Amino acid sequence: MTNSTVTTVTLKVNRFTPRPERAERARGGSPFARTRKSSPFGGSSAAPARRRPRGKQWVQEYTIPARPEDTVLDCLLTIKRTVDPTLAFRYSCGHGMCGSDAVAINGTPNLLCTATLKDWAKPSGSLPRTDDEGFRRIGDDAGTEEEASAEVSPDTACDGSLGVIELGPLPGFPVERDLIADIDPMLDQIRKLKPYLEADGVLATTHEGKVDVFEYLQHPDELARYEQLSNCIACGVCEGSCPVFAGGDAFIGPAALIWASRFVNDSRDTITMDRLDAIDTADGVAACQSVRACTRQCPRGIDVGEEMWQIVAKVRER
Amino acid sequence: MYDAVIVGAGAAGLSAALGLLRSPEIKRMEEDGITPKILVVSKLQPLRSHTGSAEGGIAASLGNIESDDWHWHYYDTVKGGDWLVDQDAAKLLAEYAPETVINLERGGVAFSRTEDGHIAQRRFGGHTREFGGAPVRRAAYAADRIGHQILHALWQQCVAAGVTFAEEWYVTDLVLAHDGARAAGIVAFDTHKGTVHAVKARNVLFATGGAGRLFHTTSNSWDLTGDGMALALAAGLQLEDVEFVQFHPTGLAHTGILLSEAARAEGGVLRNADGEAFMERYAPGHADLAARDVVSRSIMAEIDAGRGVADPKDPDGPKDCVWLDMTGIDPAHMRAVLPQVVETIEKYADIDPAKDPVPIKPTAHYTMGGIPITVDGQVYRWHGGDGNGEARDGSREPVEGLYAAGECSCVSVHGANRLGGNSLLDACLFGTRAGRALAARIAAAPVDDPMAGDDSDVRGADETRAQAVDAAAGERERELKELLTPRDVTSDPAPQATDGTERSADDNPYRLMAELGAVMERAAAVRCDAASLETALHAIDDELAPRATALAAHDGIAAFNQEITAIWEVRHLIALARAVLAASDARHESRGSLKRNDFPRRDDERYLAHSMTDAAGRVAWQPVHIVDVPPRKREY
Repeated sequence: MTNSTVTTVTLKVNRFTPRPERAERARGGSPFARTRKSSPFGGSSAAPARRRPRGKQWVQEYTIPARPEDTVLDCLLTIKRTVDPTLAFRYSCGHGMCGSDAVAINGTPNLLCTATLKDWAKPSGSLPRTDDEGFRRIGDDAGTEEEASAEVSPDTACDGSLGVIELGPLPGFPVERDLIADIDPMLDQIRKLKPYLEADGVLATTHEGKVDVFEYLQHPDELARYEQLSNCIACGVCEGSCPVFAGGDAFIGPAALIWASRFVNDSRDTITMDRLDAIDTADGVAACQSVRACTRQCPRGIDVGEEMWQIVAKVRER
Repeated sequence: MYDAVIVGAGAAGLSAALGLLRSPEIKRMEEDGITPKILVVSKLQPLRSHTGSAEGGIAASLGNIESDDWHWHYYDTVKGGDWLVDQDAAKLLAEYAPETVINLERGGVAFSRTEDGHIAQRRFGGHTREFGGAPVRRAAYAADRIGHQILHALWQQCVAAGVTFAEEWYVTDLVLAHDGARAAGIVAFDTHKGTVHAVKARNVLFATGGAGRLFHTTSNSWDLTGDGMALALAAGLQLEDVEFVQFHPTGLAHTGILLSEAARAEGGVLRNADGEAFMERYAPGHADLAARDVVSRSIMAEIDAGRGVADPKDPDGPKDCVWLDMTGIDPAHMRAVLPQVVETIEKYADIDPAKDPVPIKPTAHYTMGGIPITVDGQVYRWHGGDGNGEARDGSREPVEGLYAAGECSCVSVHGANRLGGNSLLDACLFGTRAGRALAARIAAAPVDDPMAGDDSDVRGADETRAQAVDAAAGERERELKELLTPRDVTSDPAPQATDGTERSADDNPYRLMAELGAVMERAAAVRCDAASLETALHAIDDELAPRATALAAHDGIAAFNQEITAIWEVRHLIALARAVLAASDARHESRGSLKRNDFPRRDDERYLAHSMTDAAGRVAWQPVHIVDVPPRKREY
């Protein structure tokens, strides 16, 4: 076809290996665990004292053959096969449906399997430096040796390099290992808001009073009010993008609110008022600052920011 | 000790959990103050299950759009399976399909709707009215995301029901006791903590999904490594009809991602290297819209005849693709009716389908065979029928307390080829039935029954179970320790940048999995013969299996050590590949998805029978249950 020249890409991966004894400590014990996250606006002076996960952290750089249309997941799988089988990252369906592979790509939350090199590889040196949680650190002079050695020589750049991509775990969640983050906080928040249909259980009947149909009837227009919300794959991209959530403030998060909104807007559901009450809290809709960063990378195309706005309005109007 | 452990949290596993908890038996038990002890173990967080990738629909004769009859669905299923279908099971599938779909709707599935608010239905290949007549709208759908909707609704209902999950636990052993006659529990590896757990249970249900990763090109997720089937083999059980693997004709080359049949329905044409629209030659009248297995075979025949093309992403690679030419479709129309297809092609092949042809190849999609089960989900052993291809009298010996459901199982509703829309139905319907069967067993003798405390028989049986599971867990722990002792003592988790060269000289499970996929693809994708099967068996026995045995992790920390799981996965795939090859070799005929170039015809005299294959590759034959529909030639 067009171009059979061998091109390469360089992946700079923020890695982390837990200390073995951390296993004993178990997950989800302390209610203060979230304080581990620092605010992206907190400044770098706090960085050394940051409550980092216990273990070994480093940046590892891999340069492998790749084509512009390859996904970042393709590249990581190539690394596992041919370079380093110890690199850890979640992945499953490989085409944007399972929602397991959200990470920070060049500091922006996104899915590994839908991000292509041609969209994300940057000429080396042009990347703002980000830490392992994907936050850009401004005025941080912590240029380490790894980063120094990461500079691709001019020769490489001319020699078919597509550029550099920096990878880190999904911001806003505790890192478990390499690119694997603990997203249980998000799932717990979703679970807290009764994420299931509460219908009336009444069957439709004919004029004579006989049971006519057994499914709940729903007009296509009624479906349209929540259909797109029901496409959420709970990947966490919106959460990692939200400065309030990822910043560590008390916020139930855009994903849980999208799920709540999905049922609020479902004509079959009968507990709308309870649902609105449940999110009318300081850490519910009140915590949303309308930044709308949550919308930008949603892999299912949900306008999360707009939906937040809508659900806030519904809470206020009730 | 658990009352029941369910392994797998896709459509089948979650349906089983709900079927169990919603049963009248369990309700009564709970009213008496006894809580059933149930655990759902899954290697993925449940919402990541591969059920979520199903696109098209779930078949049920609801008749919401036009008149339909479950008897027609029953007939279509038997015919689609090339008569290798147990008709008692297919009858249940068709008869209870409407109930299953309506229960899903009532559980929250956002089905697409008709103008009068009913569940919308669309046509699907092989679904007809009046026993093979005109196509009928039978597949209930939710845009092109029915699997996502069903998976999420089932998980949501499980949250409502308070189901306990052990997420990202990888099951390493199915443990039986009493000489394999009873389920005893499982051994599982907690990937978070990196620890081995002995999970004792009076009942075990496997719902672990398919094994598309046997083949290099597959529409299946990276996690479909046939774990449940391989564990059943390792526990001394047989697998039924594992030689039948459905290949969807239009997988996007290089990725295997599905391009929906709708691409051809809207005017897409398959072309070979010479630009010839070859399907008209193989299936006059039907051409590009012939049945899935027919189209897949025709594509492979073109490739084998040297008329294939190379994947443009790998121009120097093998010519193992053909073109899907969609340039004849009006570009605006294409975007309107095939949004997902266009998006996939643009995203993953970097091709504009309105301008350029798209490389496609058949992609491994569904395993029709699996762990043999009764219509109530109970796993059994088949005794008898060892004759060469002749189904003899024999008997089913159930394994007490062992159940299975979904793609990993074989109740034999799909026979030799599955109809579209029947897989989600199978998983939900027979998953629910298995859950109910479990409920009856649990209610008869719950673990927490205060009245049964002194029953020495019960205690003795539990003791035997516990010993068996502890012993198996001890073995695994020893093995884990070995796997975690890196062969390369210099391996340091904090190496210098780009230190890969040293390690690349070493072997690893990811590479091995890729090589196995290539071997299986050459030998058995879509078509095979005695020689190709033998070549593959040799490659596995002489090279891949010894390498798999020699694998060890490259890092010594157990927590989130994915390489450990990958080692077990590739070993499972190898065990399963052997069974698939042995069963394919034993069946000297072509039927449904199995095309033997050396035995091109269907042979009902000898092979109207299910193959029952064990870990040693021994194949026994079980007669097909013919109830209402005598075998006929399968024509569309």
